[in-house]
Amino acid sequence: MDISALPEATIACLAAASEIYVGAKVLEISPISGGYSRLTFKYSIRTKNGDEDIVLQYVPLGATGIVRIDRMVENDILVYLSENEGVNSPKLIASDVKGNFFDNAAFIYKAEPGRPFVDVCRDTQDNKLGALNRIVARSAASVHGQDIKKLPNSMHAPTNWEDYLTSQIELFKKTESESSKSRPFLRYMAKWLDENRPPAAPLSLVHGDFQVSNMLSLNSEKDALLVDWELAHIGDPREDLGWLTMVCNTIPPDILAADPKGFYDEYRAFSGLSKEIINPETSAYFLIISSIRTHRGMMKSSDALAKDSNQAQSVLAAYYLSITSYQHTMWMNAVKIVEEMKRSR
Amino acid sequence: MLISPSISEILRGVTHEMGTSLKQGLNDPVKNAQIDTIIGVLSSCAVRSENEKEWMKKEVTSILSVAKKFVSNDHSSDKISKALKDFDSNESDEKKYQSASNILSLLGDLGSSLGEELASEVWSLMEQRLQHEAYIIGGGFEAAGRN
Repeated sequence: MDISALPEATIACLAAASEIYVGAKVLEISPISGGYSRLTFKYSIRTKNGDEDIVLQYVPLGATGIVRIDRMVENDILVYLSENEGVNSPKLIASDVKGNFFDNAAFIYKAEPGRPFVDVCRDTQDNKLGALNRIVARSAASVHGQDIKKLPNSMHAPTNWEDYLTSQIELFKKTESESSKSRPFLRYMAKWLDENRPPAAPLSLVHGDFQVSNMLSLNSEKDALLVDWELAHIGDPREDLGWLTMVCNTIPPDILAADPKGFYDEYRAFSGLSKEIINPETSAYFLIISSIRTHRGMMKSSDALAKDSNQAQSVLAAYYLSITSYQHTMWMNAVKIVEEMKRSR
Repeated sequence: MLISPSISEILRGVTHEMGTSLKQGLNDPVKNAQIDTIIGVLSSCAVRSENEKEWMKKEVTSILSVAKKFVSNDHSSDKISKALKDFDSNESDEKKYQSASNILSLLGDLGSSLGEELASEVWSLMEQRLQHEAYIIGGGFEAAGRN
């Protein structure tokens, strides 16, 4: 679908969701950068009730992200979050999962007046970054504090923590066995993860891409809005903390390193989880676990490039090699952290 | 055959031009990120073209040494013994490297059952491979369009 057709589809989709958007007009369009597999725009629109800003996230037909997304599940969790208190997230106004108005999935949110949290972090002096990581800690705890029994039925609920962790470790083996080449890092990590299982944690809602780039600082500067829920699932809450650690290490500024104790104290206070469960050691362990989904997607993409160099998105597939190498570095560092902490006990 | 400038010199020249004159005046953040992505890919290729063969041989030698030590220490692993025998049937450097990688994977499967000394040697093999990979990506990693 050509992007010039998106405003019309957006208004049609909105009008089907609410009568106030019938006859609405798009006044201004601003693209929002970020996200590899979908396009995001802010639209200023005029409705019969007045002017308002909305955000459109549209997945172009044929776009392939690193991880396969079930847009129905994404839609259900967005609806859930919009209807339930507890997690600061954008309010979904309308969606088109089946492509009735767009040719592929699209989500339309109420635009929130805030700044990208990552910009706030970059504009903050290093010695004050610690205070910002408390906001991140509370945001994570709010996600993980949701009652999983109330989450949408479309979300797969693992039977228990042990089985869930086993299934994640199995993904390392499965990724390797499906690859055309032997991948020693995957096999090594699968064994190591199995031999070094951390204490169990209550299963929870997991954002799946929990990082400061997916947060919007609200005007209050006290809390942040969490966006991009496409990888949300039920799993171990420490997956989000592990992924956050990975991204903080990769994309500056590292707000976790600014004051790790403050972050973990805040998270534990708000989540009620113990120090035995939530600590830098378990985050290091889940840094490895949390990256297998993207790693798996990138491996598949690189393997496809090796088979057919004419495939679409070849540059991205080649670029993924650098990311997988970097993930290997992060995994090995995480192993070192856990091993050193064990030795020091 | 023309071998000068070398592949890596050509790639470095291309990436330099892309990162300077081609990017100058480009205000579109998406296009900027795409160019950064291509520069990242070409820079890695430059390092690989200079070092890949030598590094593969180095890793193969180290892996075989540890695997042979493992077998000679009376450790029982039919899979590793067989993989060592299979290794000799490979002719190209790439196939030898893949075969050695398979042996490294088999050693990794054994985890702590290898015992402290051999486990430490397997860890060193992983670190050797990691060192090469890190060199290819320039030490660290910069997410194109995100920094």
